[in-house]
Amino acid sequence: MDKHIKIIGKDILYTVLNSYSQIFFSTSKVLAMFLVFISFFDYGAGIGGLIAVAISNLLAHYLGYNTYYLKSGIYGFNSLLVGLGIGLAFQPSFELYALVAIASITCFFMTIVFQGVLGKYGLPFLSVPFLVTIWIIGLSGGQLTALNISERGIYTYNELFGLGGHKMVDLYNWLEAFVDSSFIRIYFYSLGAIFFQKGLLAGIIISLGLLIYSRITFMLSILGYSVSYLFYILVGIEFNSLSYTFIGFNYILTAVALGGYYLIPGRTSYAWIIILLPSVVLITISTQQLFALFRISPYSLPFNMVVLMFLYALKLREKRPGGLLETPVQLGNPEKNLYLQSGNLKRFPARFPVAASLPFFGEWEISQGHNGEHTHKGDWRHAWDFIVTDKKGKQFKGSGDYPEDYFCFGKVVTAPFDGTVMEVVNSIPDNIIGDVNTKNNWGNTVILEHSHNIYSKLSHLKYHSVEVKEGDRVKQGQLLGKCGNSGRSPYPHLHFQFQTTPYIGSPTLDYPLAHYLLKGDKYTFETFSVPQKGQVVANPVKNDMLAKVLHFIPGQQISGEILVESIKTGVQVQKSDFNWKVNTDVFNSTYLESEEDGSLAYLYNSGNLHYFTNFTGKKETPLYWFFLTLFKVPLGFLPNSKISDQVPVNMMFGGILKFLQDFIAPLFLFLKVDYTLEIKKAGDILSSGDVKMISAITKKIAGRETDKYDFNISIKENGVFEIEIRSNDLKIQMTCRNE
Amino acid sequence: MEKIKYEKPTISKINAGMPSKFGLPVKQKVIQEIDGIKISSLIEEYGSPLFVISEKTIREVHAEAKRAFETRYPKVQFAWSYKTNYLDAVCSIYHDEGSWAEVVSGFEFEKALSNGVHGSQILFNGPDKSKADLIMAIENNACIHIDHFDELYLLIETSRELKMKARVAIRVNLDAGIYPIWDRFGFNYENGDAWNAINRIMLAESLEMIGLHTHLGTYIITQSAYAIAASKLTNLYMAIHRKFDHWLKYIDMGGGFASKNTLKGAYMPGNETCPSFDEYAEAISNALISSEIPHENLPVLFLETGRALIDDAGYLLTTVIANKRLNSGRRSMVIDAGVNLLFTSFWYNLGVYPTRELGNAEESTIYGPLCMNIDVVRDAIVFPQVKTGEQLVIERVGAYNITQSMQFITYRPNVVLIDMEGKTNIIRKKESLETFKQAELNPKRK
Repeated sequence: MDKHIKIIGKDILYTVLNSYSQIFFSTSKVLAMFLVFISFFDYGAGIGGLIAVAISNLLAHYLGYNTYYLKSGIYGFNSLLVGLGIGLAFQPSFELYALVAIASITCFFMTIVFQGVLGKYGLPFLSVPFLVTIWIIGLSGGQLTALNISERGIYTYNELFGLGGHKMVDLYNWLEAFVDSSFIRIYFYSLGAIFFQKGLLAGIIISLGLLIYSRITFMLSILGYSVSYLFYILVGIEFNSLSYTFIGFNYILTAVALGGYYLIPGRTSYAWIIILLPSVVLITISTQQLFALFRISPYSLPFNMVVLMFLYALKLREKRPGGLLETPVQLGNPEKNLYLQSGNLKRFPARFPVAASLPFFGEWEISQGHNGEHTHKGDWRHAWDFIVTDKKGKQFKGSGDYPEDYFCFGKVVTAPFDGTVMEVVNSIPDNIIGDVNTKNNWGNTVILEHSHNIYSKLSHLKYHSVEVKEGDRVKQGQLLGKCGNSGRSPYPHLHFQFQTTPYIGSPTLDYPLAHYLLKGDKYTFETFSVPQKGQVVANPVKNDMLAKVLHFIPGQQISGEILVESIKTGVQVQKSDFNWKVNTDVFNSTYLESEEDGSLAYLYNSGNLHYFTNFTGKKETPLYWFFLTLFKVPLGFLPNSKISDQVPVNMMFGGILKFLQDFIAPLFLFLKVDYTLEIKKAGDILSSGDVKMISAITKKIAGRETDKYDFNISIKENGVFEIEIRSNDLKIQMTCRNE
Repeated sequence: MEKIKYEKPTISKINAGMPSKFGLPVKQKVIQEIDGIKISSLIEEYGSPLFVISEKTIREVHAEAKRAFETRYPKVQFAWSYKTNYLDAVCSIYHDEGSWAEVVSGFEFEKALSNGVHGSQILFNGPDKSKADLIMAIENNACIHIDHFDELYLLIETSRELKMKARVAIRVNLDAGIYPIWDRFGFNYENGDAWNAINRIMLAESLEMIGLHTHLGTYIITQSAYAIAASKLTNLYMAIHRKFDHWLKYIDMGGGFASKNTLKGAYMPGNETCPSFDEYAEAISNALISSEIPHENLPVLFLETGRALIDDAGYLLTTVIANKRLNSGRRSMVIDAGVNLLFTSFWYNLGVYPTRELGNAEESTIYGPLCMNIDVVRDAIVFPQVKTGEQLVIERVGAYNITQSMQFITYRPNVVLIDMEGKTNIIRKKESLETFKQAELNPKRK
């Protein structure tokens, strides 16, 4: 019972705190404490804010809204702003708090409505509900005669004295004297203004909170502010007006939201901040003029307008060039988002909904790749030509004078991905060797529709070999036809490309293959890559046993024991049992949850690949080791195949190094964590027998190796994992089994 | 000047320049070296007769076969047919190329294990599996291909006693247009025996049915027969899924692919008439892929081809012992390798070639060295005149000859492997009196 109350207490506390830090898109508890503290610089406003938070969250709880959003403060922060705003505008009184309560109820429903409406477009509602509510109050303010306009801000010293005696007054004076640059002063004023605070101290505390929460956010706040400052100077707007209009926070919030939160922080997102902020400035200036007619402030309208516009515009893109990426999995912290993303852009299947495989069986060689020297040029540059070669690299037997001499001729061509047959050409005769048919350029062809605006085309097929017809639904790997020599094909080969329209002759689309084995000394498992000319590639064959044991089903229980020993002293450091549970969250992500310490390891299984996407919670726990060991595992059967990846920096580095890295992370990473996995034994083609793998994690600082972890993994047919980990000073043995 | 030896004059038909329906007379083929090593130096070093195996040829042919199937079908696994040639060195090359082992006796099973093949990667065929053999197979988790009902009952009994699960498949014989049907092996498809056996197995607790096996025969020169066989097996495969909701893991099409040797009585030479791996692969994969099996449930395709993989890699080097004019006037010669080493000479017209250009070809008979009337290597071959001591090469003897060669009248010779680096290695030593003394016991001699 006590424990139950404790959990509920913790939930309530977190909900309240998150409502504060959510204003900076954060769920940082430290930042929240700073914010709560400064909100009470004016106790009337502080109480107003707290009441508003309490009312909105209680409403959300009792009306049964999503508890995940509730706990992360999503339902509270708009009301908080309203509460603070009203609390500051009027003298504390019963009437004031009644008004705060009414306003926060209004604001709460606004929140729900905007969440629903904007959510349909995949957009956040930002502080739109606050805006509407505060305008309603602001416009009716003159009529509310029972409320007295606040007199605070007029007798500053009095208030300060009330807050902290002489010391507070002295601190204030010292600060005012110390920070004499108007550039810096207005920065702090603008930060404080987000919380309706005037004076330097609030701004300084907020900026300190931001620095602790996220270095990137802190840098962005300065960047956004500086850019707008320069623009003010450039076009000759009076910059000092910002010190009393309290509107400069729009620039900071826009920079924070777009530069690092809704987009992955990086050079491109920073550049866009520089491009976009002048328009925020213009919108701010112009709306101020407009709103002055009604004697209200535009508040955060410019920020909301620009962020929503930009995010919506980005969503309508057809392609997602690297650099300007919407955050695929929101971890609530720019650093975490960046490190997760920078580890490997290819890890996110969301970017590539069509997980295409190679459209044939066995090993084929690419005779012409993207931007090829013969025909893959201009609009048609993103295509592949495949042929079959023997050990010596020859593509035909005998004289090579007949299509039948070519190893690829007549070989099965399969569907690269599930789809619908859009177009079939099947009646163009195969050319004799050396001749080309430029009239029917593409020869016999099948075009498949995989998703809205992603099509694939397979061309030069054998005369009358196509076995599907228009409108057929085909599945990945299903037979389409045979490789041939029709169309503009001097010798038999398979032409394969992606395109955005369903027509023969459509320009190509630069789109990667989801997974393939690249032949070399060892086979390398490539994911979301574009194979190059001269490479020999094949589809991986799934190992059913590996696929089964790495398929974690919600509700599944895993238990095991861990033994940690120090290598140097031979002393047993830890010996304990552990229990994990498989769960899914509201975003349908599967994760393993440790029952001992609540750590979570998020994972994804594409059917061809298992990988952990994220880890939260206590490090150096069994689940943490499990996460690192099996960071990325291909399910394709092939002994001695290799895969490599990078573990997010924040998973392995901490302290001052990471703190420093954070500042420049969007521009340059000097910390790196490499991951490699090699399959030593993978059972056999019938998927029987144990799997043995070795993986390694190397920590690097500026390219220099500083630390290494070696993992030895053995997976038994009955699903038992035996893992041995060796680092410089620790030897860890772990066993996990299904309950 | 050396005195020219007297040769009895012969009369032979002049056919130079007169094209027959096969064109001009073929020039006598000469084999001077194997993988760059002179025949004469091989015989000098290792004696005559001598079996020579080319690792390069083994690997090349295997790659060709593998490519033929793997570019047509998603999951292919070769299993090396031990009985074709079970010299450890040879088997190791195939295992290195990724082949499993296909064995037909306890002895071969033990040999495969000793070659480092994992028990679960051994396909255990054949009608002769003793209880001890079955115990070994079950304990090693092998794929046991059941041949008859008595074996099935014995297997059920044995696995129950061991309290272990046996992984099994059945061998199916069927009418694929190849006659005579090899109905002495396995369960018949057409009369329902195979389906009965499957039902019996599926209901046996201690057996796990994982595959289907067929083997049409040997030296099958029509690839379409394989297509018929494959599609009949897919019917069973689907029937098992429908009735038991169970997907088998594999279909084993056996072997029997023809090598390029010419059968006795064949009108055209074997290398002209026999289907290539591509043709067999096309027939089999087409039948499987276009069957009603959903493509994501396609079984692994096993192939146990032996002869077609290794025949080309084996040579027998031999020396002429004597020339002899028979009563009929026909020329004949005696060479030092006979049917004791060349079991396949009973059904093939083996290719025998000189090691240098020689003239005066005439129809001859080639006898082996045995003091037995049946020892005939070639009863009619157009062959040039040779002197005693002349070295000859018999090609395409890689399959069956070494495993079926018998110790009869004389010792069996060295077997040499030319490896990828072009080095020669003895992989089986020639026999000596010691070989026999080791195994023989004589109670009469004190």
